[in-house]
Formats: sequence, C-alpha cells, structure tokens
Amino acid sequence: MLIRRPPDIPPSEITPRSVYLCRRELLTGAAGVAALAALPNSLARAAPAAFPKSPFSTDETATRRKDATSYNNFYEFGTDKADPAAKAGALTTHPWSVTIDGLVAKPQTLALEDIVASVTLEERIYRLRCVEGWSMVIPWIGFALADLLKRAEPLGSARFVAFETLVRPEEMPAQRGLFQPLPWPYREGLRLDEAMHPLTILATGLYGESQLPSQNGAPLRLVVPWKYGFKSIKSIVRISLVEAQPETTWQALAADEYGFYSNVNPEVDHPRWSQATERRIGEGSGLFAKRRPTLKFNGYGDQVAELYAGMDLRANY
Amino acid sequence: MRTTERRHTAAPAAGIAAQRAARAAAWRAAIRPGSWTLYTLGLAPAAWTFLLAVSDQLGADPLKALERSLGLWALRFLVLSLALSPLRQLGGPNLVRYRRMVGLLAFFYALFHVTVYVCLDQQLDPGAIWKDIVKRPYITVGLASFLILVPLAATSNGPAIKRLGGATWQRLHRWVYLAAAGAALHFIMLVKAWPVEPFVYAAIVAGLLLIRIAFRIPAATGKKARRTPMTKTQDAHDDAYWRAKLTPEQYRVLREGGTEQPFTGAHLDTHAEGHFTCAACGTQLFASDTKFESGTGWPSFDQALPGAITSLKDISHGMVRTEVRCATCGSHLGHVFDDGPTGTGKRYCINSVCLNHEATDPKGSE
Repeated sequence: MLIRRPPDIPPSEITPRSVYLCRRELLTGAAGVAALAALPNSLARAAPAAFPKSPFSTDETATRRKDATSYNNFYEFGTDKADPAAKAGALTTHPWSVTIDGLVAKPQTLALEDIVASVTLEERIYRLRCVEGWSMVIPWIGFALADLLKRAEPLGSARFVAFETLVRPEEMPAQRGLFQPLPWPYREGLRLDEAMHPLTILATGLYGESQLPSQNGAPLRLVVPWKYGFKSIKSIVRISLVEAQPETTWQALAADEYGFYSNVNPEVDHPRWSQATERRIGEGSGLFAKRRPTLKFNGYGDQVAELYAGMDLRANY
Repeated sequence: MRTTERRHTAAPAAGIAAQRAARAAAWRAAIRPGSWTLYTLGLAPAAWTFLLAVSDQLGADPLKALERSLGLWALRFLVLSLALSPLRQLGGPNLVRYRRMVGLLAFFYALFHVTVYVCLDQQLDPGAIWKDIVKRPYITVGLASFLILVPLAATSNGPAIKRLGGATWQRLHRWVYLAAAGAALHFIMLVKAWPVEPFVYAAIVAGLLLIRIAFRIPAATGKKARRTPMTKTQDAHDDAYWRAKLTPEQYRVLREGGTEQPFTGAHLDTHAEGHFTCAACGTQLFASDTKFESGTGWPSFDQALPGAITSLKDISHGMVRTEVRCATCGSHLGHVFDDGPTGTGKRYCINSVCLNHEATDPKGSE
C-alpha cells in the first residue's frame, strides 16, 4: 500500500505574519472601540501615549496639528497640498512590510509591527523646511534609522542608502491615468553616514499619536531635519544599501534644481526662487507672517556640519 | 405722459404691465455691460477668498492660497476675454459687448495678485522683490504680463479709443494675446513636477491664439479680392479726394470697408429726432425713429430711407453677409441682417463713424 506524503502547503496559502498580526490588532482594536463607546466624551483619536522626549527636540512652538496634517506634499495623491489629506484615507497601511536589501549581511523583509517592537519610540520635535520656502515645527514619534539598519548588518562596501515609496495605483490616484506628475516609485537616498546620524529618524507617528495620518506618510517615513522636506520620503516599502550614489526622483526630474544632498542652505538659491528666508506656517495669523531668515542646515549645523567638512556645498547642493 | 393716461383708463392691467416693464428694465440694467451688478459678481471671488484667508479658512498657508487664487482668476478672466470673439465667430452667443468688462476684471485680479505678492508675500522688501524680478524668470514673465495689461486697462474706455483712433487702439489691444501667453507661461514656470492645470490653461490660450490667426488669414487675403470698387456711383470722386476729406478712421471704414470697434461709436446713444446722414457725402440715410438698441455695440436701424442705400453680397471673414453702402457716394456703411426685432425684420448694423446726425430742431426755430 502506497502511503503518499501530503503535498507541501503552497506559499500562497500561508498567512503572512503581518496579516496574522493585524488580525490580533483588529481584536484589540475592537476592544478599544468598545472601551471608547463606553466613554462617550473621549476622542476617537487614540489617546496620546507618553513617549520619552528626545534631547534633540527643539523647544519652538509646534505647528498646529490641523495645518501639519492638511498641508502636505505627497504627489502620489495629487500635486495640490490639500490632495493628500483628501485622498489618502483609502491607503491600506496594514499589513505593511519593509524590505531591507542590497549590501547587507542579513537581507530581510520585516513586518512593521516587528520593526516597531524592536525599537524604542520617542518624541522628536523637529523643524521642517520645505524647498518651496515654507516651514513647520512637527513633533514626530519615531526612532533612529540607524537602529533598523544595524539589524540588517550593512557590509563594508555599502556607502549609500536608497529608499522607495509604495506603488499602488488603485489607492494612489496620481499613480494612474494619463497625466502623472512624477515617475514612480518615488525614490530618495542618503549617504550612509547621513543615514546613520542620530538626527535621522524613521517616524511612525506625530503629535503624541503612535500612528501617522496617511497624508503624512503612514505608516513609516523618513525624517532628515537638516535637509529639504522632499528628502524625507514617505510610506517606505524598500531600503537598499548600495555602493554608488542612487538616483533620486527629484534629481532625475530636474537635476539643476534638486541636488542629491539638498541640505537646507540659505546661501544657495533654488534656481527659481530664493532660499534666504522662509514663512513659518501658522505664524502671524497666516496672511501677515513675517518671513524669518532660513538657517544653514535648518539650524542643525552643530550636529551635522562635520559630515560635509571640506565639501563645496554650492557644487553639492 | 402717455403712460399716465393709460394707467387711468385700464388701471389693473396697466399696473401689472408697468411693473413687468420696470422689472424688465431693472434686469436689463443689471446685465448691461459694465453694470455695478456684474462688476460686483466678477469681484466676488476676490472678496470671498480674502474673507476666507483672514478668517483662517484657507488652509495652512492662506497667503499662498490667496495669492494663487487671485492669479488664477486673472488668468481665467484673460482667457474669457479672448474667448468672447471666437465664441461669436463659431456660432455661439454674441457676448462681445462684455469684453471690456471681462478684460478690466482680469486687470483688477492681476493687480490684486501683484499687490499680495509685493505687500504680503515679500513684505515690501525692495531688495527681495528686485532680486526676484531679475533672477527668477517666472517672476520676470509674470510682471511683464501685468505691465502689458496696465496700458490696456487704462485705454479701455470710450474717450481713450477716440483719442487713439480705432486702428491704433486695436493694434495696442492685440498685446493682450502676449499678456495671456505670458500669464500661462508664468503659471507653468512656477510649479514643480508635471501638474495638469497650468498646461490646460496654456493649451486654451494657445488654442484661442490659433483661432485668432485662422480667422485673420482669410480676412486679410480676402480683403482685396472681395472689395467691389467704390466708384460706380453718380458722385464719383478719386481716392485723393476722400483721403483729404475723411479722417483716417473714417477712410478706413467708409472707403476700405473696415469695421469700427463695437461700443466705441459716437452715435451709439444718439436718439435725438432727425436724420442720420452719410459721413462721406451728406446724403440722408436713416430716420432717427428707426434706430433701436441692438446690444451689438453698433448703431442699428430697422429700415433705411427709400433709395438711400445699396446692398451687396459680402463673403469676407468666413461669413455670408449683405454689405450696405451709401447709394450716392458708394461708401461702405455696414451690413444688414434679417434678424431685426421689429416689424420690418431687418437690422441695419451701421458703423457709427460713417454717420452724422442732423437734428430736427424741436422748437422749429432757425
């Protein structure tokens, strides 16, 4: 009598860990909803947990949450700054996984929950300077990018880190149709020493909340406070360690306007506008805000200027 | 006098009729080109956006939103002002009489846009503004477009047209195409990446410019061919005679078959009793009581004096029309159409510059 071995379970039938974890989260979430229903006065937004304050935080007044979450550049949802808040609601951020590959000893794909569980989240209140000439102060919740990169054990040959945003046309309206503002995926990059710098974080939340609103780059985004905002790539799905300087989206689109470094620098103008001053969103009741001088490295020169010692910042804009 | 009499005889019906007439008159006054009602309507977006901006309802960056909205409305009105003439030529409604108002609204919005940039965005910092103008091509282009609009707005009135003469005025106002192209370019140059909106506006401006050129070529080439010589009349004079006798604008219209700018003529609102005569030879052409308000911007009559005019087929400008000339001296006067609102069914659309008015003295003196 022939006893046949049962066929292997095809990989497609295995519930991914992230989905399995989400199911558990759904249950706890349901419990949370029940608890909220019992407390009619409590806000629907998750109650801010107490995150440790980071010494890297600025003591400047934070931008209103409503402004920081309604005025966004996230071209996957449209080029108008109101588009992300209006259209990112449909973005599925659970399950979410991030692939770390390239020149690492341990290439891996990690569920977001795994990443968050392995780090200590803290609050970092950073200035954000957009290349367009406006700025905000945002209390991020996040952790040092270095902590994640170390898990994958970068090889000695790795000199740069390349990042990629999600491509999902069915949930990202500007990724479909005849007229698309950018080539996808959105790509960014850092030098490895910039990526390993303690100021460089991956954010998972803001304003005391553990989760990011989708329009701010949920569920995981980069924050590099001394560079123009577009360097801080949103909704990251892939981090690759590479040897050569990676091509980035804006550099590919207009290399004379957006350099690889894109450090905030009042002395080097954007070809189409001055970078000497900025308008802080929410100041002076909006219409009558006084422009403030833009600070070199967005005011983080003490910590990061040494990264660029001896470099011509005008040539390496 | 007549109305009061009527009111006495048939009180209720006449009352309602009078009310209706008053309402119709009020409505006509409201939609008259350049009425306060229409200007208020046209400027409402500016007032509304400003209110939203000062009351924190324009998002995180109300200044940029206000600045951009004003600029966009300037571009929209510019496009609209260019679209009115093609709209008529392509068989749409004739709204050309609103063109001056629409053009002025475009200028006002451009002025607000520049004001917000200078006062609120750059906070009256002359150094920063100067650097922007010389170093930022999109600012240079935008400012140039605005500067073009300034003389156009300043000459958008009857006296200025008379002072400049129709032909010069028209040549000056053709610059509006450059201003519109500049404004569209300014929009494209200031955005990042490839958003659709600025390119849509640029395409519309380009399309309007093409329509303009397309309509102009047959007009220009057809001009010489279609012109029936204006000499076969009993009062034949040579060209030198007319050049000496007529003003350049009169010569262009009467002897070259040109057309004056609508809403510019001296006789648009002439209603005094008497006759209108040929500006070239003095022959009586139309009785004053046959004149009516057509809204076209040219004096209009529902009939001519018997034998005063001759008509010819005119196929210029891609249209089939009936040209009207003075029967005595053969000078061009205008056109006649079969869409008159009165019993005659005719609408004699006559250039004001071709007419003089001879008043019948009401007191009968002299």
